Amino acid sequence: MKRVTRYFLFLMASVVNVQVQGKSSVLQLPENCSQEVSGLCSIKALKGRGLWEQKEWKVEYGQHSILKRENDGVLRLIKGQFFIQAQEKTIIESKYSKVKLEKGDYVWVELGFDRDMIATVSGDVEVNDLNGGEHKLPAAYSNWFAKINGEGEVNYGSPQPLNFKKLIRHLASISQMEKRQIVALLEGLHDLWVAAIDETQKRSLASSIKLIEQDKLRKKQVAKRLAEIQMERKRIREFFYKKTFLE
Amino acid sequence: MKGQFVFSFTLLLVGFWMSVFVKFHMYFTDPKIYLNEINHLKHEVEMSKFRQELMRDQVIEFQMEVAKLLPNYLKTKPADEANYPLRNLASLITTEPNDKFLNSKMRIAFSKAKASFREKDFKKASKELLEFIDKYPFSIDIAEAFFLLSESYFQIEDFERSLTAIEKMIELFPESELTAFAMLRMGKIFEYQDRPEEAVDIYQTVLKVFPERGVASQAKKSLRSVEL
Repeated sequence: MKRVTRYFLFLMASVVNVQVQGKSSVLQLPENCSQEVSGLCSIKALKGRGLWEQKEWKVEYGQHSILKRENDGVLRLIKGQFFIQAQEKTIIESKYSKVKLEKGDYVWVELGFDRDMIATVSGDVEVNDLNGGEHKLPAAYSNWFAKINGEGEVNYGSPQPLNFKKLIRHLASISQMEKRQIVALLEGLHDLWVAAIDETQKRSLASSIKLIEQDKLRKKQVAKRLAEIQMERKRIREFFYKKTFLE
Repeated sequence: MKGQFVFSFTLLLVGFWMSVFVKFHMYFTDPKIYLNEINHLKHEVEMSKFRQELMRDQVIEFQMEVAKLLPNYLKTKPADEANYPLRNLASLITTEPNDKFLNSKMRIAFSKAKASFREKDFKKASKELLEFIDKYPFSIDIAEAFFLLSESYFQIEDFERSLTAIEKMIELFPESELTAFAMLRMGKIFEYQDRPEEAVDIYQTVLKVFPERGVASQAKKSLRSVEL
């Protein structure tokens, strides 16, 4: 009986059309270029997260992200979200910024349609805007960089403590690190982040006081200007009255 | 024993007929080919999207290179016809309009027109004011501009145009004190044109609408002079 049932199951399994699609979740241009050590190579993640490791860097990317290794080995980020760990001194480019990394630096890059957000998770990195301006970005800080406007000036923000909640969410969804590694990384970052918040608060307070003083001055100037305008209007009124009724 | 044999036979028969059915089914409607074709086409679409994204990135990179170099280069070139292609290229990289620049342009245009009015060059003033109203209809000085325009027309004795400007003021700025002054001027024009009833109507309207303001006393005086 057992033999018959086994035979029947074997027959069924051979009849049923089981199709397993061996479709890759990553597109590469040229094909399989990521296996090479150097040369032009572009990658797009179709599904899930991915990891690309080279001698100089290790990059973890999220779904729909696009990145490119240039001929000279520079990593160019085109679209999406990334965590990059420098394994040697390296440079990463994106639409609106260039990040210089030293060995061991770990950064989180999020590319928006009109700006690049860069956050330092570990190490002190230097970011160049499109005009070559240098911006220091210590650990636990983030900043955004945008395009050059018609006046030739580049738009960028001021360093702020990074969004810790968002970082945890992204690390969980993109990073290939183990849970305990992520926890250790975040624990190390937390104290720096708290210090960054304190420092930013102090800076914000100072700049708010300055802004209030500037606003007071501006209001004074506006009041003076309004008084001048009133005087001018009064003069015009008198002039018209004279013209209309007395001449 | 017999029952076991029947059961085994039935199972084998079912298996046999199922395999026959599947073979026939696959023979007539083999979905493999179509599935492969769909997968291939999907892959092609994804690849072309991917290539597009890479190209778009190159375009942005080039655009930023141009944006980096062009503004400084343009400063060294005169804004003549020969440099039109350069200015045209620069317009592609220009982003949001500069509000401060626009405001200062508005202020300059209005000050220029006002200066012409003060210098009693009313013809020039009317031309400049008309241009200002046309170009900057959302300026904060627009009511004053209409008022000065009506006055300029009045001064060059173009009463019809003056009346049109005042009517526009009544329509657009019914609450403004300047409109009240303009209405007094309207009454005056009606007086010149021997239309005293209409002038009286206008003065009474001013009195009714602006009873507390200084302009009311002028309206009263004008009304008295017409009624005399």
